[in-house]
Amino acid sequence: MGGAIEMMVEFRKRNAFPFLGFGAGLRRPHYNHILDHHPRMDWFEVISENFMVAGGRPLQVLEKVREHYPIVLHGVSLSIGSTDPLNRGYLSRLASLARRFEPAWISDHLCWTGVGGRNLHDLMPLPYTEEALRHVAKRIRTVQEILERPILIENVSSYMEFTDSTLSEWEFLAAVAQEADCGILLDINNIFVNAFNHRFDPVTYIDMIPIERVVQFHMAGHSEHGAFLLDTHDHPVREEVWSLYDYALRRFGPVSTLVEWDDNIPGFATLAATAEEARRRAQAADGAKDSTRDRASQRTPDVSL
Amino acid sequence: MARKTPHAIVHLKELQTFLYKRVTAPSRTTRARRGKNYSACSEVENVIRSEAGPGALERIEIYSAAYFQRLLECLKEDFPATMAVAGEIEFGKLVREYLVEHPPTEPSIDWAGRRFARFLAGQSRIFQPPFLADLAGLEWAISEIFVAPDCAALNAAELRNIAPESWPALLLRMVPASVILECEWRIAGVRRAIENSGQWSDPAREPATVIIWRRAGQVYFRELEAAENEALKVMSNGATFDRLCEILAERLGDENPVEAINCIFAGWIADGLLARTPAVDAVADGAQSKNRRARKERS
Ligand SMILES: [Fe+2]
Repeated sequence: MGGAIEMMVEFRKRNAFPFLGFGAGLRRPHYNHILDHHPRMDWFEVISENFMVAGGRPLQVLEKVREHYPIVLHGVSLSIGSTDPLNRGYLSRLASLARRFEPAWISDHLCWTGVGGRNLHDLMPLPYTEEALRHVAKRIRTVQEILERPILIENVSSYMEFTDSTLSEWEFLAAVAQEADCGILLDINNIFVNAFNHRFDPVTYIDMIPIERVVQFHMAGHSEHGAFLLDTHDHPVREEVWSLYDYALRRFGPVSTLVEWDDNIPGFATLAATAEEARRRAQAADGAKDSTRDRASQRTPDVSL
Repeated sequence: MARKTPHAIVHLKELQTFLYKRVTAPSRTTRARRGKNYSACSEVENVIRSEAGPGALERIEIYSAAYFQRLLECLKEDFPATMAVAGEIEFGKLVREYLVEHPPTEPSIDWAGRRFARFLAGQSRIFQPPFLADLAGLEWAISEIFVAPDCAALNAAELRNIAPESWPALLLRMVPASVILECEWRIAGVRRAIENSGQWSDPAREPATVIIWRRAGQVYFRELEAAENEALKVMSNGATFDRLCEILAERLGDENPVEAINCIFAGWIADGLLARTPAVDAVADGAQSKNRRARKERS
């Protein structure tokens, strides 16, 4: 009963997620630069699995990074959509990583990564069915109980859709978030890539996502591969994706934004410039729209929009 | 919108199991595309929508290509010398066969190569250099030690604090980020040569022992002499310092074993191979407070 009443209060207000500003994914080629120079970057997102290790340099680096920057734990192997049982060992490692590094939040993807005890190490799309919706939402709730905090789920890029699907991707994402009572990490590039691959209008997608659940954006580059766009994270953000970001900013207001770059990783300056471009666009959108003031009140004091 | 057939996969588990098989077995998909296996082909089309653009098989092929590519990249990073020796094309073939036999099961992709050396040891290919499995074993150990548990290493100053009477019964330990590997071939030199210059010459087929360990975040390896190897082994089994010296003296058979033992010991300290354990701390601290007391009494 209490849960139902609680649900009516806006998700973000209830959970007081901070506004982190404009950050980048923490990647190995930049470790030394970051540790030596503490360059300007509002925050870093780290791949949780890279730090689920016993010891050594990765954890030492993260410890030092954490002394100077807020971080977010972003997983790739929660496999929330899998029909395998939840991996309790993985979840307890994730929980202890969270206790040690105190991330602003924890996120993973709305997908499955393996089945039958085997891992594809890929973000596999789900069919958008009632069955999958109930299955995933239930598992997200369990994960949130174990981690003792709400998590964010991210929309993935995909190259196939299933004949069984009875919902659109955006209906599925919105319904899962609603039923699981979790946040959304909206990857703007993935929306663009999927809109191309599956022939839908990306603006419709954005319009259908509940505003109060979106806690973070991802921005990344993609590449062309024949009849597909591939979510390769190896290029600068395309102009069309920036335009979609502008549109999303107008709908959602300022949202903590993160630049992902995983292949052909450029120098840190390029990452920083991309994060600054996101800031510039958010400022422009903010100036154009005063109705987002309530959102701005959630910002942490040292982060400028 | 859904094109249902009597054989349509409706349950999530069935769908995932079906897709897993398709993605990890590209040759079957390729055969199906060539028309040799119509039922497999139509099964894919029953499951995956293809009315908008590319066909169902082409879509699933994106995932299988990405699966092998991603894991190949990961193993290339973990086994650079193994790849250099095998050749890039042969290495790719080996990885494909390895993944069929040992598909990844861990949440982190970094573990994907953990059985690669064992897999290579079970292979006997005409073009496969016979020392490849040993080399892969060394490279995997390097990856493992990189993220093995942390532990402070003993330094010379701490050792000096140990009172002479505590030494004989002292129990020493290697740092947890260390492992000793028995090899059939002298592969340590191959790995080092490839790391330094990309060039190597075939190693001798001689039993060799290699120690791999981490100091200050960096992984090192070197071959061990027989005496040193045995001393480290008995040390790991819980032998006292006294016993360690006995074994070294026996093995070295030197006219001046004390100097040789000192030399080996200094090497372990310089390499950061010995762990700072509570047992060592206790005697070192005891000696330190005794020293402090002695100094106080003198002043
Ligand atoms: Fe993303």
